[in-house]
Amino acid sequence: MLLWVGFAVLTAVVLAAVLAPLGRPARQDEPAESGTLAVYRHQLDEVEADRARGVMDAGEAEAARLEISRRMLNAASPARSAVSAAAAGRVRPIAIAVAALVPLLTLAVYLTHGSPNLPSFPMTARSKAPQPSTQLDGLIAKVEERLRAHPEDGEGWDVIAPVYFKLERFRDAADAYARALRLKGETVKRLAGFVEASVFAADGIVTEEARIACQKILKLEPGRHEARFWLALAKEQDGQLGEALADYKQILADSPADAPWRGPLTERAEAVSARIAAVTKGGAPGPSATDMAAAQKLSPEQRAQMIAQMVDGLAERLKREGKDLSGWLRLVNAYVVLDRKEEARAALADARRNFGGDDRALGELDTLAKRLGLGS
Amino acid sequence: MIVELGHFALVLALAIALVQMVLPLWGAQTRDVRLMGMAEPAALSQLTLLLISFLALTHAYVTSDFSVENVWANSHSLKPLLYKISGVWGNHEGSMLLWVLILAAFGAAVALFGGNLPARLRANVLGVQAVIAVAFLLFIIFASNPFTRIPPQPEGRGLNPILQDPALAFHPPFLYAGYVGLSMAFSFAIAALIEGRTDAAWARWVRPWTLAAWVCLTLGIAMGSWWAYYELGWGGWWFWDPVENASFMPWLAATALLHSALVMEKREALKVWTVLLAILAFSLSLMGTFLVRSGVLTSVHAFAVDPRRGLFILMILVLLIGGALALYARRAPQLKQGGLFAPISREGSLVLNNILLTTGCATVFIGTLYPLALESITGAKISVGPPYFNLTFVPLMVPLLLTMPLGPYLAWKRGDLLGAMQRLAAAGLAALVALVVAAALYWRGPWLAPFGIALGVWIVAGALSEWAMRVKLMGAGAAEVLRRARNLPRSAYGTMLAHAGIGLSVLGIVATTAWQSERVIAMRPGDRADIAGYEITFRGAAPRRGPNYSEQVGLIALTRGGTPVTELSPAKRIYDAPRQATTEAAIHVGWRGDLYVVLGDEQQGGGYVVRVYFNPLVRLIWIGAVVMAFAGLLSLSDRRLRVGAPRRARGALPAPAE
Repeated sequence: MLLWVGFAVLTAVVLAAVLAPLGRPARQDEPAESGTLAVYRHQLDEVEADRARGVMDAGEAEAARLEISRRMLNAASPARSAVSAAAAGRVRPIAIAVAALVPLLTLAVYLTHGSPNLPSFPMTARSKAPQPSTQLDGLIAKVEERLRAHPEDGEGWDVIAPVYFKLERFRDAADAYARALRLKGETVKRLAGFVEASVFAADGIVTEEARIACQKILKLEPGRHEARFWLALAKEQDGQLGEALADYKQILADSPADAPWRGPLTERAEAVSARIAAVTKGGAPGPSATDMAAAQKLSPEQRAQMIAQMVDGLAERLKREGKDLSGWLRLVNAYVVLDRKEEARAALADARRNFGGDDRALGELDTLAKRLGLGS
Repeated sequence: MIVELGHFALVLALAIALVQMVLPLWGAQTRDVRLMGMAEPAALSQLTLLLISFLALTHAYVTSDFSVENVWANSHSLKPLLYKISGVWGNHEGSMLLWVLILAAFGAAVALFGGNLPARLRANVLGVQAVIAVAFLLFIIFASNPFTRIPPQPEGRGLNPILQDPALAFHPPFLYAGYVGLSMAFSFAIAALIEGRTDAAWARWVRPWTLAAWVCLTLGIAMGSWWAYYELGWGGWWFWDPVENASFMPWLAATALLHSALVMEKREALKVWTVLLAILAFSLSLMGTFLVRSGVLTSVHAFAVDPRRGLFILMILVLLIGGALALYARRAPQLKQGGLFAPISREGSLVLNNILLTTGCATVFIGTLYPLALESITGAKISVGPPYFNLTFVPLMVPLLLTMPLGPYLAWKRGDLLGAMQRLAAAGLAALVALVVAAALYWRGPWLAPFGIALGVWIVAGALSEWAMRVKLMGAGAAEVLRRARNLPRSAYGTMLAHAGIGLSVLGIVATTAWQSERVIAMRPGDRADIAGYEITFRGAAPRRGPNYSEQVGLIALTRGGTPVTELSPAKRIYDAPRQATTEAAIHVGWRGDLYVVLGDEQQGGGYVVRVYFNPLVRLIWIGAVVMAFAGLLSLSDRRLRVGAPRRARGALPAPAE
């Protein structure tokens, strides 16, 4: 309601201001020349002032005066007869028309475009999103400040890396681990942290750097389960499904019966064996066990078609949402598996375009390209 | 509620603009003072309404009201306040609103300060201003409405990070003030054509308003170039990018208009040409808006990619420019030609200035639009880059700059070229010395560079020596010099400083272009490198959290001959929303030039690619622009009328008839 009062007041004030001149007495238009002559008179004064201040000498001033006088004569000569003033009767209909049409037009346009009933939604009206504890923020800021001044302080990187990881700043965490590794030497703890952070930062893809780090872990501590798991996952992501499955099974066999990772690992192994079944039967990987169950019932042609549809669907989606790195990695992989090398190259190029400027993403795409022998 | 009030005020402004478009023009035709009188309150109401509208949108931005689509799409609740406010015009819809707001401000200025204008001229001018306002308000309300509401969203999408920068926060308002300011010259030109006459009051008004627009445009372009220099991380300051050209063309036209309007005010000559130039200058401004807004150009500026809008603006362009030129073709022959002058005279030199500036503007125009036209006709993509402009624009500017110091020495109506040259002997000598010194210091460098330096010195020295002559620096006593310096009108100081500013910019451009040095080095912590007499040591890089971004900050120690100079911290930033990377160059400012450091990509094993540039005298480019703008303000503050005293013919010379 208040809003409509505001609209009404605004309209009334503006209309009153605009229509006011119509209420004045009808006066004859002053001859246009009067303004012009006034300017020339000002110019003459100006010349006099300039001469007095010594900016113009007497001769110049005389010439200027002569010229301005000539212009004055020119301006005055074509006597323009002022046309009669408007008939007084015309003013009233104009005023009524304006007073009626302006609010009507405004309302018509406003009501088609505006949303008078939608309340505002400013930030302060909303409950604040849960903020991470400011104390922790302050501590991090302090460590970061120290690290900026002393980037070679390995201790600091060591401290901050797991904190970054907890805050889900995975890239910063991976970076911090990498620095700590370089500055303070390679330990299993740092390497493991680095691997985990890099894999999380890459949306679950085991990067080349992570793979090398895993191998280092195994050199330092042979049989370490998580390193073996990441390596198996890397093989799976490379499409070496058989070897991946064997590795998963081996890890399961080596793990104690109450190890917390048994559950997820078993699921992983089952998914891989389902995919292997799909590859041996249909020649292409299917994405999940349930899909596989459906695929088993189809003829090889139908199955191939279904897989092609899935891949094309993924490609379609990535065209729209180009910032999905893991999607791109999967798509390129799938094309290679389907032996559609040209499309794989095209997809790789598209992905590179999407991640222009993002060095890490580009690095991963390069790694994948090398691994799949796509060249670059 | 405030948002809706702003929306309503915007629509009401359209209705009032329609009134202001129809009735005062009609009143001017029928000489009805009452109808003409409606123009002023209508113009003031428009300003008030659009101000309400603009403030309402700003309020929505500041309070992060994400039920407004425009705010949601371009803002973020965690953005610093400055960028919340600058976000209002950091997007297409908001920037259009700013455009009409400035237009309304200029219209209101005519209403407030135009008391000394003839009533019909004033009514016609305001009527034409309203035509422009109606076109743009229709465009805003129907094709790019900033007040469109959506179901409330929890969080906004954020402003393009490269626009989150202090210089860019103020670049668009200045640029728009320049663009829109030229609408004043345009409206006066159309009003003159409607009336079929240009009187003295006409020129009296056009020059200062053009000057004000020119000052804003100069500052706006300089800010944009300065921003590109330090933010885009290439160490370059001008790229002949179509968007830059789009603002440069109106500047060239406005510069020409400024000089021809001067001739018109002082001598009542060049009337028809000035009217045409006024139309062209504003047309180029509209084109600039169109080029950037319609998304024809793919560059950082093109935040509106929508062909429907492009079509709308194209229609505005065709109607306004086409209509104006058609009116010009019909009415220009009726305008009375003003005073005559000899070829060698102040007027003559200003005509030469106009010819060269408009030709230069035309070459930029072709270089900017030809690729676009070619692409739309044949589909072929070509890019017209710096080589084209260096071969066409630069040769046109050289004679302009060479003759520039001569102009102020020539008398009005008929001048003495030989005398002017003799008086410039000192400046010539200074230029010659600069040539020899530059050639001796940089005998290996590009052979054209010393000539460029000499040109810059010639302009600066020429401007200074004109002042020296006018105050009789040589030959008069100190008291007399002081008295003359005080009495010299501010407009004369304006001319001198503006010309000197051009000279400074030329010096900066030549030095940077010819003698920039660049190194791209992969550096590990502790590595050292030398450039332009400095030694840099890379100490490492570390992350940092900003208000709405995280960054890698490099630490580089800068020493000169072993003594520490400063520490530089170039950075690579990744913004949270939208997730986008930017480079933050670190710049050390020395008196010889800028040392410009960019942190590049990280290498395997903790090293970084570091790009280092040394840009000699690069700051003079922008200092020159600031001097020019200051000179414009100085001249603007001189409210006196401009009168040019003609040189009287001596004996044998037949006096050209008036």
